[in-house]
Amino acid sequence: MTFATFLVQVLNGLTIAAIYILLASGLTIVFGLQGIVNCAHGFFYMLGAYLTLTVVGKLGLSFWVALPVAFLANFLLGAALEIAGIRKLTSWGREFTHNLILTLGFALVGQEAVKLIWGTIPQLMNVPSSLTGMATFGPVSYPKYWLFVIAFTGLVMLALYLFFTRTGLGILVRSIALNSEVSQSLGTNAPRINTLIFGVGTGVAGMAGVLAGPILSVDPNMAFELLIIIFVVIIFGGLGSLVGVVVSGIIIGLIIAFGTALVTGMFAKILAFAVMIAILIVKPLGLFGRGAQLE
Amino acid sequence: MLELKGIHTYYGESHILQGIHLQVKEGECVALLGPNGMGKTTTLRTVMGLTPARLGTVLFKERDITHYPPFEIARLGIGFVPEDRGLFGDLTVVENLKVPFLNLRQRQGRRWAEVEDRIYALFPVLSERKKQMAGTLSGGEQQMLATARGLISGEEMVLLDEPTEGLAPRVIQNLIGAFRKIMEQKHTMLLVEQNIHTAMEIANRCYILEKGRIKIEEPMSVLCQRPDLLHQYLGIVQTIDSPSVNR
Repeated sequence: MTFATFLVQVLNGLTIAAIYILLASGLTIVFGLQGIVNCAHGFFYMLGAYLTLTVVGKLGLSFWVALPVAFLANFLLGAALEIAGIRKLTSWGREFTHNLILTLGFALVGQEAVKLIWGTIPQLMNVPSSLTGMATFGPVSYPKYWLFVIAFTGLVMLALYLFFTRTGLGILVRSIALNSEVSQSLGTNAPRINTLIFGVGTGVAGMAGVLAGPILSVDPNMAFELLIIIFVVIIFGGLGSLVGVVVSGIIIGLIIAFGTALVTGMFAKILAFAVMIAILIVKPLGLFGRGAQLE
Repeated sequence: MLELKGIHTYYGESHILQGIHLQVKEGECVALLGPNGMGKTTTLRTVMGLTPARLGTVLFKERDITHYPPFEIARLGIGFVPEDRGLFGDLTVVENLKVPFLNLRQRQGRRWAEVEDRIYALFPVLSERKKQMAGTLSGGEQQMLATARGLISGEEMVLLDEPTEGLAPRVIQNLIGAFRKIMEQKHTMLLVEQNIHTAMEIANRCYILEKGRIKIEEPMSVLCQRPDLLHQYLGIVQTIDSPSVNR
């Protein structure tokens, strides 16, 4: 392997990692805050991609419109699911299993709705015209769009990190994650903040779908295989940890990229699981896990 | 200011509070005494809306708050210092204080600098620990932080649950000094205590709870003179010095 092909594989790893991280961040934040696993997360990812097909393909608008549209639509739908379903179950004291079933049911209904609206045939999504072609630096040429995906993910994660650590609302969110009851008895409107954060999580998943569209395929099953790896990323990083998601996303992205290039894609995935298991034997809570938390 | 009328509270099927009546007037410090498992903590949790009453009424400034959600009760100006302190261990001291402040600012436009000055005047050691994680503080410092947090949200009154539990005598003296200063500022307090000495030092009046019911209501000074009551309800045998404050 030459240095140039090595660099290309590193970039491939980071591109894969970018999609993983965007998807995993919303899941892990919601878990850290409310202790629930949102099984519909993959649906929101898929919806982001399909909305882009409509906004760009049917309405003829730009990719740059599709990105905020997908965020907003998924934010609103996620918030609605939280208010109408999860908040109710939580207020009845039915937290974990019932929410698992609720979100799984929502995902199944949503997926069938997508099939009805957009059909079952895999569709192609184009790279936005301003990002077509390759960027060349030294011996390496790499698709501009893929570099954009890496940079965009970096910005989203930086924004989330600053939000949690530097803003007042971020402090309130972390206080709910650490002890919701005490935080509420100090005046925090936890139900409203939970809804907001749930919506941000599904909104970011929607943007992940928009970004992944031109790289991976757009079809009604696009989330399934990806979601398994996403759970590996989250558990490996430590449930509830944003930093953990970034670190483990990059490690697993690189394992997949190099494993695929050197052996096969199947081997790469097996290797990713093997690494996760090995880490969990040494650190049962994952790389950055300390139980439920946000950081 | 605060009034509980015929409160019945359950945990699942167990009937914990069986008709509590009590009252806290403005500027008063009321102690809720009694052995473990008699419903003292549950009484505070009922006021806070964390374990709402199934029957009865909680009135705060003549307003029925029995079924308000906890955050709205807090926003009326009732501060809560929970048992075992309930600090956010992975947040810094300042961030812990900011949680009630941020919720307060929304409704009253208070400035952080003012709030901070007031707190550090009361607990100077906290100003030296601003950036430290709350989980790494000593027991006494943790209690000060929890109390400070409760004072920020509790502009009208504060509910304190066993603030001196597990602390060294010297640290307890320190805290009692701070509680007295708080009471001198015309604050209102409902204090749950196991440690009768702490209650003697700061409370004006007390209720003794037994099996979810109020058995005794007396001024603190009267209770001190009644070894029979102290023995019967609190299991205290030795005589107790009369309180060093007289109010």
